[in-house]
Amino acid sequence: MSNTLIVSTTSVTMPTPWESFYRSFISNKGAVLGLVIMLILVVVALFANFLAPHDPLRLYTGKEQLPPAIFGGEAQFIFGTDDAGRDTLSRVMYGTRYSLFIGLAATLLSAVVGVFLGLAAAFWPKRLGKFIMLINDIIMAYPSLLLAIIIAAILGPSMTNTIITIALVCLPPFIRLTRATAMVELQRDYVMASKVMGAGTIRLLFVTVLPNCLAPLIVQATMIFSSAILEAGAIGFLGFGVQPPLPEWGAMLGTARQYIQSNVWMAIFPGLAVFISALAINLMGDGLRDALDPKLKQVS
Amino acid sequence: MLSYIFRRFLVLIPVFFGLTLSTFALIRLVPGDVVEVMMGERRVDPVLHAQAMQRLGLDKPLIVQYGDYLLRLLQGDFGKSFRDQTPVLNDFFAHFVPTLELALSAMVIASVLGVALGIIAALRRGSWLDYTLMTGALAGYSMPIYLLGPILTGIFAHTLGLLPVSGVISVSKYLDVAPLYGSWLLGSLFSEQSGAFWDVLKHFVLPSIALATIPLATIARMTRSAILEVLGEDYVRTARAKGLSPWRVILVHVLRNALITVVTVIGLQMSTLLAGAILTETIFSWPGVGNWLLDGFHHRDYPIVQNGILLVASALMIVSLLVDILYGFINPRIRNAE
Repeated sequence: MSNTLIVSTTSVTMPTPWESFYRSFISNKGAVLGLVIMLILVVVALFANFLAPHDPLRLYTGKEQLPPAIFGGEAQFIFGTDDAGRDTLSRVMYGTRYSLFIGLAATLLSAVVGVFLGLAAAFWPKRLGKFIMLINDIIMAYPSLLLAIIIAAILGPSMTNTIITIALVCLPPFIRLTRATAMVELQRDYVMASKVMGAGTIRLLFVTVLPNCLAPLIVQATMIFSSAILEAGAIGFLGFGVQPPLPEWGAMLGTARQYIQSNVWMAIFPGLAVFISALAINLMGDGLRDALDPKLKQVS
Repeated sequence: MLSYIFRRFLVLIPVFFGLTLSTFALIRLVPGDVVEVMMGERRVDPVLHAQAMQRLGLDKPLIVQYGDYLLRLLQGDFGKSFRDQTPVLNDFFAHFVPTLELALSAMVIASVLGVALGIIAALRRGSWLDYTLMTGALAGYSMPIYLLGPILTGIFAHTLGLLPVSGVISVSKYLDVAPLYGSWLLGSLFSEQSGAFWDVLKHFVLPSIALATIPLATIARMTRSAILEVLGEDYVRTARAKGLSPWRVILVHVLRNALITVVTVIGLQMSTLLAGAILTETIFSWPGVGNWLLDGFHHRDYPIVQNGILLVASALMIVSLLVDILYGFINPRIRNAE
């Protein structure tokens, strides 16, 4: 009988949160695909001035409304041209800049304001909380696209106003989610401990509670990012967003709407660009959800 | 249960008033003089302008206008359109019925296909079929209607010529057919002209498909995860262990329990469908509530915008209330909780 017991302690270490996050995200093929597509889009956005074959604003007179090259257009305009003879491919490439920026800025603005209101609603549930939730319910009661159009019309068509409009329409999910998670966290012992140690309200909310609500919020934010891009396209499509000739996808869609019965090509490419970015973000969102929320992972 | 419904209903009242105030304020903040817009963006003689403002009741102080508006609303008077003086309530129903028909037909497509695909994906979990279906669902979820609409019309209407491009009926062919109770389906069914009903049905296909994609994707994903959740329960293992046939386990033990979640999701999607129909209606020139509201908005027709939004929002709130009640009825755990 040997009485030596070998216990290896060196090889077993708990993975750090970052490691387990990375492993889980990397093992999700869809999420990696989404990330790759997103990186490509970012590269296109950053280097559009080198990559685009034409000036997105230049009018090629006599070459208006050409179909894509393989459907009988001209070889130099691969995706065809728009109603004023501008190259669609170049416009879609430059549009990546504007549209990704609009989506990102609107999501961040909405997240910051929504988290702030949600925390306030959770911390002062009596009066302020009820008031915030009433405003939240009123926004939610509107058909969101219609509210967006009205706000966009009030503010006037510009990129900043499109961002503000989308941020406002996207507020309710952030407010509700922050409030719900914060209310659960506020009941926990560590919050009580922090209170006992004399933490002020600001510290309690932003340093003690908020970090523990972040995982679902990050997942939510990615989903909102994709719907913000879709919404920006919709607002532009209806003619209330960024105005042409600026090469923004929504603005391109807005021009295309007037020709939607006669020439569908003009709507297809900016629409496709919106679709691809939304899909990439949603794929990443799925991966993030699996990586950040182990409870959901077991199910899906 | 009744007290629950009553409480849910009470919560809606402040939201309703919030809606009246916000629509009233928002539509007045939109730039553009009502009378000038109505006259087609022309300069209007100041005297005529003042007369028109008085006729529309827009000369009074805002607070009086809002008071009048609320008072009439409480008496069930939804006002008249600025442009053609038709009662807003009648206009609303005339346009709401086509929207509802479109939403219902989209919902049928989305629920049947979504539940079926969700079940298949769940039962083949981890297979390539599961991956394909779920990636497809994600693609459907990310698909903008302003892309899908043109693709569908491009293929089925312009290239193949199988289906109509837009509208609800071929106007040039069936000039005499009028909607019955706002419904073109009923109107064409009972019309003298044969073929009118078939024509209307054909007009339903493309917009229904376009509108169905997002709910279809959501329902498929939710069905899959609901079933996977139930499959892990102890009673499913027990049912299998006592030798029930796999089909019986799936149909009786798994589906019945998973459907509780699925029905709720379907109900909630119905309200997003009604609200999201604006884009579909614009693309397919559908004579629905979205197009009607958008048109009213373009012409600064205050009564239509204010009351139209109010009516649509109320309809949505009622739908979600009904979903909650339905959920209580089909879920014994809640039904018997009292």
